[in-house]
Amino acid sequence: MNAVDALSLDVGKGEVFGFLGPNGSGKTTTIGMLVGLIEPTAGRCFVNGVDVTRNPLAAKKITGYLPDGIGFYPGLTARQNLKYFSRFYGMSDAAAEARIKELLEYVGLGGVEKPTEGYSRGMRQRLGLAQALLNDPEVIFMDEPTNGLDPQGVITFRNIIKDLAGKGKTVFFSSHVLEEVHQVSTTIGVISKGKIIARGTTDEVRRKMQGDDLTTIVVRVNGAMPQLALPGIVSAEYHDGSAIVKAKADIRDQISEELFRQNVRVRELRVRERTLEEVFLETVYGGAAQ
Amino acid sequence: MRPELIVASKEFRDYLASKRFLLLFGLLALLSIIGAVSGIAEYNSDLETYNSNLQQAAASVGGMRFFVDMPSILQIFSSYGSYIATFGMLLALSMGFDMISREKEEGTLKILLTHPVFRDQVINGKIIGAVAMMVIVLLSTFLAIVAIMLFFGIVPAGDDIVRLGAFFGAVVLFLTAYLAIAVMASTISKNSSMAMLIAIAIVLVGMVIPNISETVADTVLGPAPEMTVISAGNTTTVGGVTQSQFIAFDASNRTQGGPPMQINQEYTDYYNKRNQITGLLNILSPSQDFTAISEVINGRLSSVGSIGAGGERGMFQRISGQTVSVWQSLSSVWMNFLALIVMIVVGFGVSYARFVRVDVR
Repeated sequence: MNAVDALSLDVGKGEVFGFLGPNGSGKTTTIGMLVGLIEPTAGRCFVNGVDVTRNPLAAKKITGYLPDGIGFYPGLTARQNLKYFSRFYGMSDAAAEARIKELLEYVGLGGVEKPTEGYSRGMRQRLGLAQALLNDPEVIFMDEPTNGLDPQGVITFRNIIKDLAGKGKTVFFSSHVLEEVHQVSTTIGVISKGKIIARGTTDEVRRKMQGDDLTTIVVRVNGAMPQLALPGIVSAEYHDGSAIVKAKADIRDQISEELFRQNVRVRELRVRERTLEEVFLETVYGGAAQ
Repeated sequence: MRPELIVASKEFRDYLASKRFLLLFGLLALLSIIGAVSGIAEYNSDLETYNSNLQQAAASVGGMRFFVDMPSILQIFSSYGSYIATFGMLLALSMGFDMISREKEEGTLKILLTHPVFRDQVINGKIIGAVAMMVIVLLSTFLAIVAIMLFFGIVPAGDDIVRLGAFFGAVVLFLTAYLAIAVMASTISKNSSMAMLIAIAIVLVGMVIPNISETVADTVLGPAPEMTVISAGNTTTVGGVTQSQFIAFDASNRTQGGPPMQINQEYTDYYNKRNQITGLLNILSPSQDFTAISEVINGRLSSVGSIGAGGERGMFQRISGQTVSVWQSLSSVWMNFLALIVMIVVGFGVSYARFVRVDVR
């Protein structure tokens, strides 16, 4: 069984791309292939035009990666850990020290000199981010970056991602939490069972996953709700004093005129859009979480 | 700096910071020094006995030939050899069993591999770092013993220096073989506990190989024939296989004008075959290889001794007073050297092949 199957995806420069999918859907495998940890059995991955499989070193020099469940050499301090990784980029000692100092300040670990074995989950994540930014990468991959963080940590991380986006970096991050993706992404992709099922802006994905282009209109009136016979109505559910109408377009004006003509006073007339979360849960989890 | 050397220097520093490594190294160093001091005391005692015998021989009327050899300074290293075979082996295993598995467990491997370094450079660097550290450990203990010898006024001669060099090479190969086994276990295991278990299992198999080889030889060849000694036309049947250990000494009587002796061909053929079978199987055990090489080099022997039915080692091929060159000694154990080299190549080869394909996520 393939963890990822015929996945085709492209992310534009400067995008903050949220990769959304339930646990086990293939998010980590996809990122693993993009950062050169896993060799795809078929197909190719490119980062800024560089083939990751054929030219892994060139790809690694322009990417940064924050994995889920990151670990560091426990006996070394944050600075020592980063110093070790910096050597692979051929940085001079002075340049490496300056970059490490800057990054540790950036992620809020400046002045922390204890070995990383005593780090909390949040500190480890922040150090992981510093590690991912060590080479000032053009593209940053983050696998479930806010997983297990406290609310303050989550907010800090969101701000950092927005800040990186502001600096023109391309951020590709995965999550199984829709709210997380919704908060910081400019575009999203939804993966399920190893296949991309939707890709685009939040609205585009919602519409695509919804599966139809019908507009749902909620009508509430004083007294009994009359039957509506308007062109454009596909279906309608009538209740005592209300109706939910599905139409091919937004026909609230026609509904209003028809009810006025029938001397029915309108209390509420609005378009109800299904949220991305509703669509996501229904599509990916089959509505089980509703 | 080349990525291999970056990894190697990190590995090297990690060992220096590891309490486990320092403890075992300290223990090995301490035991080596104690072994050297006791070895020197024993050597001096043997030398005194030898000189005393020489004086007695010179004083006796008509002279008399003594078959007591002059003690060799190589015997000072006999304790060191046994400590290497035990604590050294433990040190090599401890250096390798979590080399890769620890990085997998701690999640550092997937970080390391996303930086600009090839997988083969990582494994090569780790192996270089570990082997370099091991060579330094062995060299430091070895030179400490040499320094103690010099302090006590014992200076190795030309032949001794060559033999010491060969012995040091065997020590390095022996421990590198166990390091390779441990690294292989670390690479193929999902965690360090499993790696340790696999490494211990391989070591235990190596330890029981001599017993297995005896059983296999006995099963293949059946019961041993009786030994018949033919001396000056008289035939004497000697019961018990362990008599074999006297054969070499009896045979030396020929050079002294003693009665010509002969052993029935069937008996010698049986034990020649038996020794071939056990020798062939025993080379699969690094410890047996090291023991054989050590005995031949340090005992100035021309071949490895056969093992009697009771497990005792005998028949080391050197007659008292005979000079055996280093080359003669080494050429008799080339199979053991080759076996150690093959184990190193296979161990590191499997580690390499597995590591470059391991799924890191």
